[in-house]
Amino acid sequence: MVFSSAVFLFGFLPALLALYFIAKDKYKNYILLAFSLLFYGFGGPKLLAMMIVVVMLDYLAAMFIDKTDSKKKRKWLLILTIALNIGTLFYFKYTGFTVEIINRLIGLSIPVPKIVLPIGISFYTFQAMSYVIDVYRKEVKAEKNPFFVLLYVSMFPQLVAGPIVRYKTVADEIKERKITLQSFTDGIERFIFGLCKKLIIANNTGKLADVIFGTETLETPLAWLGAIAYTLQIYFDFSAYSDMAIGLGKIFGFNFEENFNYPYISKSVTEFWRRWHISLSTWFRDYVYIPLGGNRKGVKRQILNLFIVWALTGIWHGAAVNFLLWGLYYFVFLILEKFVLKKWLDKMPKFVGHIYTLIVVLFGWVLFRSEGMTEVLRVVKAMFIPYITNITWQQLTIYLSSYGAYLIMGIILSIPVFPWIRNVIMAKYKENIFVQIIYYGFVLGMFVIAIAFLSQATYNPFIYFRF
Amino acid sequence: MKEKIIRITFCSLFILIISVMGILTIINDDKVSKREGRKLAQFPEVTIKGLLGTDYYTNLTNAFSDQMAFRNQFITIYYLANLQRYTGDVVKADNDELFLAPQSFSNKEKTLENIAKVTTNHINKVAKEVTGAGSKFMFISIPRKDVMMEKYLPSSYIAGTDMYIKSINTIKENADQNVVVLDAYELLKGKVDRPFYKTDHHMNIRGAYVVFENIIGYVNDTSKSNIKIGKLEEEYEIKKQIVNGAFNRKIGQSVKADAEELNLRYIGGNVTYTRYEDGKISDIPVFGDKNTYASAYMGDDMAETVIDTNNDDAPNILFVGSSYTNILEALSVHKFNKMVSIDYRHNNTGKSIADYVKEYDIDYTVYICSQSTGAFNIGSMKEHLGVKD
Repeated sequence: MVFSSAVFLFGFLPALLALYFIAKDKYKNYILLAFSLLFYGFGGPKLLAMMIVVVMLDYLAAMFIDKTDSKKKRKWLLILTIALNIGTLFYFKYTGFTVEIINRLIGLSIPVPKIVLPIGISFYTFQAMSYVIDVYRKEVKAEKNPFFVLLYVSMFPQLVAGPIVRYKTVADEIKERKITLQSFTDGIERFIFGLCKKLIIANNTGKLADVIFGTETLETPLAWLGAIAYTLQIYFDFSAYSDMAIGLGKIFGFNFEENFNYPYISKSVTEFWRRWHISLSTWFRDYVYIPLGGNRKGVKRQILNLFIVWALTGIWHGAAVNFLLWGLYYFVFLILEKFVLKKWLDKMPKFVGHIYTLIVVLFGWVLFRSEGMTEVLRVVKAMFIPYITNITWQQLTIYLSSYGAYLIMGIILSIPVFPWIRNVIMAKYKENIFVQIIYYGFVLGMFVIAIAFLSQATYNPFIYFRF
Repeated sequence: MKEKIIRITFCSLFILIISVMGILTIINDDKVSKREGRKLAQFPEVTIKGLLGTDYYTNLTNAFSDQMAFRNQFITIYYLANLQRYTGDVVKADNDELFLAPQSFSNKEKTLENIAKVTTNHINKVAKEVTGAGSKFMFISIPRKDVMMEKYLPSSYIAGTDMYIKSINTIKENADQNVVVLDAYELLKGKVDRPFYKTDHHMNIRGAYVVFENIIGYVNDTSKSNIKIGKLEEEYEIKKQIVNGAFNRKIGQSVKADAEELNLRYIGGNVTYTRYEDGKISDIPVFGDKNTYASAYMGDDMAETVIDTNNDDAPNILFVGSSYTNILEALSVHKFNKMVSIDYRHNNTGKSIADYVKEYDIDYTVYICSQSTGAFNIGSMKEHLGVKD
């Protein structure tokens, strides 16, 4: 089930809200859990059973780790749990890829198994693992109630596409949380804005990218336009989902951490990764980079650690060579910035840093989007080797006439102009009741428009679901 | 306090919208969408087996989308709020004349040429079978509306005329001698100002009649028949009806449809006929009988239509194609002994065109093909010709 669907908006959500707010406090978590499992069950009840089994094994492992004082036992239990989680993830996500690689390298022809990838497996595996690791590190106590652990992992707002929530972030809120009128209102508002971002901007820029990259011949101006459209699509698609997840969390009294902070205004690639998919970057930092030694064991080891982290980041996004290369592409730029470019960028005017970052990110997305290196080379070649025909400008006019407004909207909303305007107006007219009425009326109006886009849209896939 | 009231109102309205929408959606049980011309997904029955599978959830999701309360109104809001000029692949020109979005076919002339050659090979193959079975074979090419009505296009829209001409010229060059090619672009250019319906991709009566005159001309030239054909108004009385075309449906009917010439009454004499649909006698009217008016669209896309007028002196004609044949079928009824029409998108009889030629003793086989993108689509052409591979 996706948030931007009629079944979620007009079936799942009102039913959950009604039951949740009617129920006594002690039943609220169980209602939320039941609905979260139902939400996930839409992807296939068998996969739901598998998720429950994996999480219950993590729950038991955490309990044992917490109870035993033996360092050796704790360590072995942790290793076993990580192996279980990584093994599950590997089986579902990387078996086919691994067989393909082996076939290619050794020249074998082992049949490539077709395994259905459970929705959100990369997200919930990481959450479940982080819970056990945090218990092992004694950063949190193991939760005795298995339903609460299951609720933490399966909570529907963040289950299938993040943000990757740490147990310690929500542990207290699972047991006791307070829903205020302010948080409830903010939650709805955030959810509506996320819905609009997805349905209005991401879907339309996505259509443009698909149309352009789907053409047999790719002319230079169109290749650039397609790359820009995809750059906007992936940001608005993914950040919209995070907005909706954070908003829904607030509605039910949870405060998830931010996952995006206007990444396209970054002045360096390093800064970009502090603003993009923050929960994934911090996960890899805390559970891979720092345990490997981080920057504490000399420059060579630090470079190796970064290499491992970015290779893992790449293949976390997908079992394909282009994702691995995408991760390593960022590794190269991060190393370059750390040791060479940073000093140079610091001396340059700010706009140089912005342009440099946007170009690096844009090519990163070309790599990310392409299925196979042939496609990468096709697009990059089209971008750099001038190729214009008699109908190029006609096509460009058509595309800009069709999607220009959404591109402009996307570019404007990629910079924090809306929060700035909102804050200025709200600060200036805090006491002005009419301004508030107009503002909330505008938000509801946007909701109606989002429903209108939903009613028409058949093109509605969330990109990040495959991860 | 006032701020609190505003927040409560905001939250209440949000909950009210999703709840009311939810209830109305669930109690909705519309079977079809007239606006879209399709069946709507229904809520699935709740069974244990269903709940344990995946189809139930897919069907439920589809039902919520299709049965969504106020769906048509929301679709209208979408078309008002949407900022695309070329909405839903449809372009709105002056006076709400609707066109399909501009063609963005491959710019490689070679590709265009290759496609045209492949399509010609299929035409040649079918023509050989048909002529072998004793019928003459005509290929009628219908260009897109933007090619035919270039002057009505918005300024930013460049018609696909060049692509069409390259494509049809390749077909003409490569067509065998037994294929008679009639190019509607050449026939209509400069003769009919508006040969298509305002909000639709089909030719109107005026456009179709010129093509029909040329079919009759060819029949008269190549047979002993001397079919008399007058000007449109001499043959038919025409009545207007609101034509809410496919383009308008695509954009949520956001354009006001006009009354256009759609219904005809034959005034050249009373013609008695028997109409068969899929082998069974049908009571769908054909204009002319007992001074009635009937739609030029023959009722819809039928798998197999046979209209027998018992006019043994006149030849038999077979139309092959899609909805583009409809209007020509209707015009043919009064001039031919048998009018047979097949649409292989729906026809599962397993009979080839040549089989029909033999079965109905067809004298003239007319294959009508519409331009889809820059070229004639190979897959679509094979489907319409009933070619399997």
